[in-house]
Formats: sequence, structure tokens, C-alpha cells
Amino acid sequence: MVLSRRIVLTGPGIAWIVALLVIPCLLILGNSFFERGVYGGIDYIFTLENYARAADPLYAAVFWNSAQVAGITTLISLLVGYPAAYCIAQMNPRRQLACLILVMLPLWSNYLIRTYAWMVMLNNEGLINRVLIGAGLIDAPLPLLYNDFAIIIGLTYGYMPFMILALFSSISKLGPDLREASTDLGASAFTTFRRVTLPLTLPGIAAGSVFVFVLSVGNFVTPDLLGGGKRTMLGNLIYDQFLTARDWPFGSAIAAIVVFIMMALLTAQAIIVNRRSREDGEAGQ
Amino acid sequence: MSALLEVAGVSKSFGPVKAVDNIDLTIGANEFFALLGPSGCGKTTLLRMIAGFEMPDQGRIILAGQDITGVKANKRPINLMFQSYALFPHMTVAGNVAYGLEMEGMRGAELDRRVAEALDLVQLSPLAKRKPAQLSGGQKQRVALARALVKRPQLLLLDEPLGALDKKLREQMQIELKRLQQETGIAFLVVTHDQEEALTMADRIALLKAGRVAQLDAPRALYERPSSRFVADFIGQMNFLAGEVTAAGLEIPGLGCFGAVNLADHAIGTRAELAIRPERVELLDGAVSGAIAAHVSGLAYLGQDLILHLSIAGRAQPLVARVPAANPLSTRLRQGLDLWCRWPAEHSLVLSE
Amino acid sequence: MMFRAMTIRRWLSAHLALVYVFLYAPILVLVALSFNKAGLPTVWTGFSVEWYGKLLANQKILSAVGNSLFIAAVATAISVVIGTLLAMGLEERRPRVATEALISAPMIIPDIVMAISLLSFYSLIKLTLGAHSVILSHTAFMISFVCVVVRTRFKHFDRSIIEASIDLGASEITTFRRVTLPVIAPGVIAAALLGFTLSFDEFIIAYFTAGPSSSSITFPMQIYAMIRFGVTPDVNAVATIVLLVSFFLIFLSQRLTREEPAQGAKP
Repeated sequence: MVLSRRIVLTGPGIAWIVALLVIPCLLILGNSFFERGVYGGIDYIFTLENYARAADPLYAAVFWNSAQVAGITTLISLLVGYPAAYCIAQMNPRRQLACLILVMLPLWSNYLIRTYAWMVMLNNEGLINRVLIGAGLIDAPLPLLYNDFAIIIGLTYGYMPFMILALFSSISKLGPDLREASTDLGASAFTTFRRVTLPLTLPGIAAGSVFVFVLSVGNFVTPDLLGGGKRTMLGNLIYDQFLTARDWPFGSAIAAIVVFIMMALLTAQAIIVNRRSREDGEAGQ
Repeated sequence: MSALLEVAGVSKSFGPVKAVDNIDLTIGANEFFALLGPSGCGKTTLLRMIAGFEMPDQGRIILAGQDITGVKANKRPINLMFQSYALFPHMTVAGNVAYGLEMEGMRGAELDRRVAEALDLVQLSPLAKRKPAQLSGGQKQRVALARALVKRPQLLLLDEPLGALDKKLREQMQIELKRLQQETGIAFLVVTHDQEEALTMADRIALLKAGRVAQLDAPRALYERPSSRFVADFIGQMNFLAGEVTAAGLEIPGLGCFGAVNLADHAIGTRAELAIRPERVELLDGAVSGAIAAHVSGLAYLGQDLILHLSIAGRAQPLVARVPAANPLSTRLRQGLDLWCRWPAEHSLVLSE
Repeated sequence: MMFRAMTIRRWLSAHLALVYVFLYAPILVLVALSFNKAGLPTVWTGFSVEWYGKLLANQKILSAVGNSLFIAAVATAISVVIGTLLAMGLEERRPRVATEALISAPMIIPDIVMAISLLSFYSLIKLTLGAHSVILSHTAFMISFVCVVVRTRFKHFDRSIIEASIDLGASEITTFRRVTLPVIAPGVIAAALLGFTLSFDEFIIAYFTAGPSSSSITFPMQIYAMIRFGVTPDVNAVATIVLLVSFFLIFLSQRLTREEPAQGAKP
């Protein structure tokens, strides 16, 4: 009776997700081990060729470039986001809420439009170049758009709010007591930060970093629009294999590798969080 | 007293845990009955079986002569006042109270009249249009009460009805509940872990321990004639002195032989304990025959009473005494004072495990 | 010491202010430029609403908006029903870790991976692509989001009110209609708003699973086609409208999910 009621409630949802997410993802994994057909289809002959090809210097460079761009984006988001999150965490609840809503608000508007806004900003006639020329700092417009710099700006703009939210939830859990205790015991503000605040907010740093990194690596809109398609990233590589080169098995292999890396990172992050909470649990006894 | 509810041989297990173990109880019409016990004693499970939210593994539940064991909760003429009050947050006070009557198909003027009557009964008429979020804890409790009472159930179940209220309000509501029970003539079954609550309100109390009834009695009998060490210890405070039953009384090593009211119930030669309530311990200035020399090792002032810890030579546990602050001796009491104490045999009990 | 603390705080506040400038400057510049008079998309020459007028005459944009509204509405209807049932089922008893992972999976898998896997799946089962395949694809992730939002509502939900309703004589169906649904309604509406916004804004998955038909060109696909060629004044106007509409929707869903005020409550 209870069991059947539960199945009636959860059955459709679970079946839906299995059919439209689990099975398609397994299909991608399966396809990555087959050969490409003559006319862009799939020949069901087992091969490891697609994975071997991914190691080819040409594609390895794409992996490396993506990792670099995503890594720099993550680092900037962390360095800029941490003080911001820390500042918000010190406020009273009312201001805190207002500041957090201000951080999240841009996330709710269309990603394409937000990316487009940076095309407007970084353009040769864009605001930044105009201000710099107007101030007499430069004579000719700087090439701000269609390069890695623009991609990193775009990705940071898109994903730093997630970093701030993850850091905030970690920092705000801390409360002032521990910091005050550390100060009371004679530590300077910097030492308190290094020995108390930073280690205790490590789970937030891990969560925010993994999130930003994963989202950045898989992105294809930002490199396409702000990078001008000059240096391909993983998202663009998958896109090309599916819609341009029509090599689905190879595209699937790249996607499988991306998901695998992503899962490894998420697992590492979960381990950090778990270990931390276990240690905290022991300390509490 | 005619039986309204009969619980016959009811058992219920959750996995390996036997929550309710073969309980028999009878509750009379118009009775205020309390199920008392520490958490995990099975009182809530028993209540939920009577309400119809749990099915007993064994036994039957009979209401007014009819077996309702298999009847669903929404078809039983029994209502429950939830510990959390469980008020519908999206309905007004009046809407909450009307809900149960609407389920009976009642509409219009009759419905309005009954709702107004119920709100009147709990003195909440001015707040009829409020939402639960706009009420205080005590007001919510009254709404929950009105909502359950308005259906005129044959039996009203109350799950820890005063648990969420502060001390002052709790005392006030104890008297209020008692009044409502007498005015409505509905049988009340209260589940509580608070012995004071049970003692003040109930006509009879069933004290539960590990799924079984430890003792079922009127409050006074439960307090003055507990049937076991568990009951004596759970209800109020009690001093225990271990000894051996003899023909003359309980022989306590190092203290002597003491009489007790129920000595005859125990076989000579068995091990037992003498139980004395702290307020029955008398303090004396000088030695009289039968008095024991003691030393005040601890003292706490409680306003109307003083609590004394009396150490007696050769005993690890101090004897606890409770003295009214009005007692002329009390002003002279202080830590370290040597005095004598004794207790009357007619207020002593012999208890075995 | 006090002085140090104050300076640090001031620096932090200044930093936070700069972060907000970074977050909002591009949006504000975009909105300002959408009211620009002359043809140039980035140089201010005077106030005008001509680009909005031209927008209303742009058949391609209008039909893309229509397509997106249709797709988002149908996908929202499906996801809200299935997602709410799922949330109810999961909140009845603590679900297994595997179930939780399954439900959060659509929210963490990169869009591009979801897009290609759905494309591969539809091609395998020989499903013709079109508006219906976009709807199907969108429900795949929307159900998870709906479920999460509705479940947060259940977290504040005192389950004993369901038992109270049954105790007062209501059947299970009456209890759902008169107690459960009204109490979780704000959560369900907020979930519907979120789902609708997600579907309306979604680009990558739609782009891969829409197929060649013009009835499945969504609004984001149309925007993408326009902005690929660079910065143009009419896109500025489109962007401004999209921004305003999304901010209005957030405002609406915020108001709905906010806890009911406990005014007049006395301890």
C-alpha cells in the first residue's frame, strides 16, 4: 500500500529522467567505442581509436587550452569572490539578503544576452576602449575582443556569482566566535584568517572552484562569441564534431572524457567536504 | 463506570523493537485518563493506534462496544489534538475549526453556529479571522483544541498538549483542560511525559514502561502507594534504603529495623527496599528513640521548601529531606549542622524490584 | 587594533562595490544603448525608442518568441505535474542516495553533453526533430529543478497537518486538494516560473535538438543567430526587453516563495 503509493508518485519522474538523461548518456558512452560511418553515421564496430585520437597533440592542445582558461577563470573568481563573500558574510541579515540577491540577479537573465553585453563592452568602439582613449592612456583601441582574455572575462562574469554563493554559505556558517577567540588568544587579523577562517572555509572553496571549473570547461557559447572561435575549447570541439565534422563517435568520446573529469572533480570535492565534516564531528564530541 | 474504550491485548512492534507489548486498558465515559511515561515507553504508539494512524499487530480496540481495530482514522468518532497542533497554515482560525464539520457535509448556518460555539468554548471568538501564523503558542493550542472538540468526538486524544507552552501558561491550561473536559463531558485521553501534568489533570493514570503498564491508578494512589521501585522513582522523589524483610519490619544494616504499611505483602527473608518520600522525613534537634544521627551535607532553598541532603554514617547515598520554609527549624538549618531524623512507619513502603 | 579592523572592513566594502560594478556595468550599458538614436550600436548620440519599433516589425523575432513561449508553456506544464509528484514522493520517506544523485544529475551535467546525448538518442529511436523534441529535452532537466523548488517548500511543511486532516474525517484526495496543495502552492508556482524561465532562456540543448523546421527556432536561437555577426542596435533592444522580463519574473517568484509574514504574533 505504502510502496505502491510511493511508486505512483515518484515513478513517472524517475522514469522520465532515466529515459531522457541516463539512457542518452549511456548511449554517448557506447557510441564513443564505435567507428564513424562513411556518411557521418555510426558503424557498430568496436574501436578504441576515438580515445587514442583524443591524445593526439592537436586535440591534447584543446584540452590543455580549456583547462588553462577554466583554471584562470576559477582562480580569478576565487580571488575576487572570496573578499566579496567575506564582506557580505559580515553584514546584518537584512543587508546580507539584499547583497546576495544583487549577486544572483544577473544569473537569472539570459546567458546569451549577458555574453552579448561583453561584446558591447569590449568592442573596438566599446565603452572600455572609449574611456581609455578619452583619458589619453592609449591612442588606438586595444584588441579586447575575440581572444582568451575576452573568454576569461565572459566566463568569470557568468560564473563568479556561483563562487560567491558557495563561499558565502561556507563563511557565514563560521560566525564571529572563532575569529574573536583567535584574536583573544593573541593572533593578528592575518594569522586569524590564515589559521582559522581559511581552513574552515575550505569546503566552500572546493565547492565553488569545482563548480566554476566544470561549468567553464563545458561552455561553448562564450568561446564561440567572445573568443571569435580562434582557439577552440572542449565545448566547441564537441559542437564541431556533432554539427560540422559529423564525427559523432569522436565527439562522444570527448564528451565522455569531459564528464569523467567532471565526476572526478566532484568526487574529490565531496571527499574534502566529508573529511572536513567528519573532523568537525569528532572535535565536537 | 461504563467502559467507553477498551484496549484488549494490543501489541505493536517496529522491526525488532516492541513498542507496545500486550496492553489492556479500559477508559470510562466522561473520564480524564492519562498515559504517562518516559520517552520511548510506547505511549505515543498506543495513542496513534487508538487514533487509527497505526495498526496493532495483535489485539483489538473497542469503542462503545464496537470493534474499531480495522476502521480508518477518518471514519473513527475519535479526534486527536496533535503535539505540534498541526493547524492548517492557509486557513483562518474559523476555517480550521470548520474543516472537520465540513467533512461531515455540514454547511451554512448550522456550521457557523457550531464553529462560533466551539470558539466561544475556548474563548477565541475575537480571533476567528486570524491565520495561525498570527497567533501565540497558547492561542494555537486553543484552536487545535476547538478544532478537535467541535466534532463532538466520543473520545478526544491529546498528544503532549502542553509540551510547547511555557511554565505559567502550562499551569493555567491544566486547569482549563480539566474545565473543558467536565463541561463537554467528552472522555479525554492525554499522553504526557510530565508527571505533574498527569497528576493535576487525570482521574486515572496508566504509567507505561517499555511498552507495558507499570501501574494503573488514581493520582493519589500512584503517588502514595507506588507498586514498584520504577513507579516510585518516576513519580516524584523517593529515598530508597535496601534491607531484608523480617517479621518486625525491614532490617536495614547499620540503621535498624523499620516498620512499613505494606510489610505484610512481602515474604520474610526477601531482599527489599524501604521507600520514604522526602517530605515525610522529620528533622529533630535532639536524639529520641528511633531517630538517626545525620549531618547536613547540602542545602537548597526553593522558596516555599528547603531541600536537604543528609549524610548518615556508613552510607554513600545521602538521605533527601524536604522541609517547608515555614517550619521553625528551617531558619537554623545550614550546611554542616548535625541533627537527627526519623520517618513514620505509616508513610513508609516496602518495595521490591 | 580597532583602527586596523575598520580599515580592513572599508577595503572589503570598496572591493564588494567594484564587484557589483563588474556585474552590472555591462547590463546598464546595454540597456542605455538600446535607447540610442543613431545607427551606431556603441556610441551615444541621443535618446530614441526607434529600435523597439523596428523590433515589433521583425517577423523572425516575433515568431521565435512565439515558438519559445509555446515550448516553455508545454514543457512547464509537464514538468510541474511530474516534478511535484516526485517531490511529494521523495518527501514522504527519506530517499536513497542513488535516487538523490539521479535527480540532481540533470542540474550538473554540462548542457553540451546533454545536448549531444539527446540528439544521439533521438536519432537512434528515429524521432523526427521539431518543437516536440525540444519540449521533451527541456523537461529532462526542468523536472529536477521543479522537484528541488517544491521540496524546499515541503521542508517547512508540518507533516502532521495531513494526519490532522484525515483525523478530522477527510479522505486522502480531499486532504491533497484542501490541505497539501494549497500549502505547497507557492512553491509549485515558483517552480513553474523557474521552469518557464529556464526553458525560455535555454539555448544549447534547443539548438541541437530543434531540427531544421522553422517552427522550432526558439528565441535564444534567433538571438544567437543575430549576435554571431556582432553588435547591432536592434539586439540591444531585444536584450533590454529580455532583461526586464526576466527581472520581473524573479521579483514575482521571490514574492511568492517568501515566508508568510507572522505579524501580530505574540510569544
